[in-house]
Amino acid sequence: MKCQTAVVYERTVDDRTLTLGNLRVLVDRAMAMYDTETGSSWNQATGIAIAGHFTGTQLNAIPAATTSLGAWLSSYPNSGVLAPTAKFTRSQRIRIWDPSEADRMLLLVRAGDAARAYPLTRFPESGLLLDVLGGEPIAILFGRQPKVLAVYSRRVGDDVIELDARPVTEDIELLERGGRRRWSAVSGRSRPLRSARPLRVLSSVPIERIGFEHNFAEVEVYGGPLPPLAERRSGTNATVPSPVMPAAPLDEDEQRGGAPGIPSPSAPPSTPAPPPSGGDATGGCR
Amino acid sequence: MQWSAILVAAALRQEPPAPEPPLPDTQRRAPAPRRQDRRLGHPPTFVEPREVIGRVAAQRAGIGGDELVIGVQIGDVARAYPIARIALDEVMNDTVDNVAIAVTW
Repeated sequence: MKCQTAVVYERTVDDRTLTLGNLRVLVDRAMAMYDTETGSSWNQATGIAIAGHFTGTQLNAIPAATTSLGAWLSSYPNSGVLAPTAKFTRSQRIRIWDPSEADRMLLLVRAGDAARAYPLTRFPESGLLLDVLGGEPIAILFGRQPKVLAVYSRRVGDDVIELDARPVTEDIELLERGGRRRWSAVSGRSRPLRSARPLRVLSSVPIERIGFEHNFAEVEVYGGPLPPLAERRSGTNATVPSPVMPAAPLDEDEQRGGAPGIPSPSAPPSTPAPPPSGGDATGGCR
Repeated sequence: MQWSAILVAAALRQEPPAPEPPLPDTQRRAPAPRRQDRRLGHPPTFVEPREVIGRVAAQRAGIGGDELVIGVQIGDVARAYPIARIALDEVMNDTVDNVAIAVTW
């Protein structure tokens, strides 16, 4: 199950810090998560609890950038990096930068209460798309070389600025049109540092089209409704259900909350709240 | 059940059945999920970072500059999560600058 929907959530809800896990089941073509504290099940794409104590509650999404490590470290040289494990693998194809998958991936952007989805096929060659979402002027960067995915507000102080994009070493520079200010597309920080206010990062979620259509039917699509998907070769169809959900092996020393079936003293329900109808263990994500 | 076992043993003038000795740790792990359970999505996995390293150590560990990451910056702390690692469990519980977060994929 590889939904490739990159979202970072704050996992404190009502002053309770939750420990989230992968329930290894799909709900509405999105990964279902589970928290050990209340046994609630959560839709990973929307962040909304679908069963259990927190039903209807939504996790707060934290702005994050998806990019290469080199680009990230060029903006944050002192950044920590999650250490690899023995099972660390680079074999996974990242679909968002795979040209053959462009018609199946969208970028969901939120600004305040407003949301809009941007099909990757509708980005200009430069990768920089300027728009206004819910009254907020925004800049969406889907850079292919170097790979950078980030969304910013174009409101800097009292100014609303237009931007152009220019690739530089390990980054893409956002240039103020008709001005002299420059920012890193990875971090939103000015270049050179502190020469201007940083750009405000907005929440963005790369999401597969089938997951988007199941979970965000009410969200407007930039450029109008999506055309029907073209037929794919057998073996690459994302809707082919897998008969058995692969259960990835665990790193024992990384496992928390007790081994499955042996609840730790603090781990409450040993049985996850079953996802509501619509949950399945079949395809949609690969 | 234990009381009834003792009563039966007393009636038969036999020693009550000794409790089973505790299993060694290696055997106390939960049994592998049955096929049916796996189809239903059990067991969930809960993962926290084992180690966070700096850029030099990352290079030594074989994480190159082209490695795709999800980058988070909260307060004064920045952290990069290689997608190849996150994709293994798809949910990573972490705390950055005292903010509890879950990086999901």
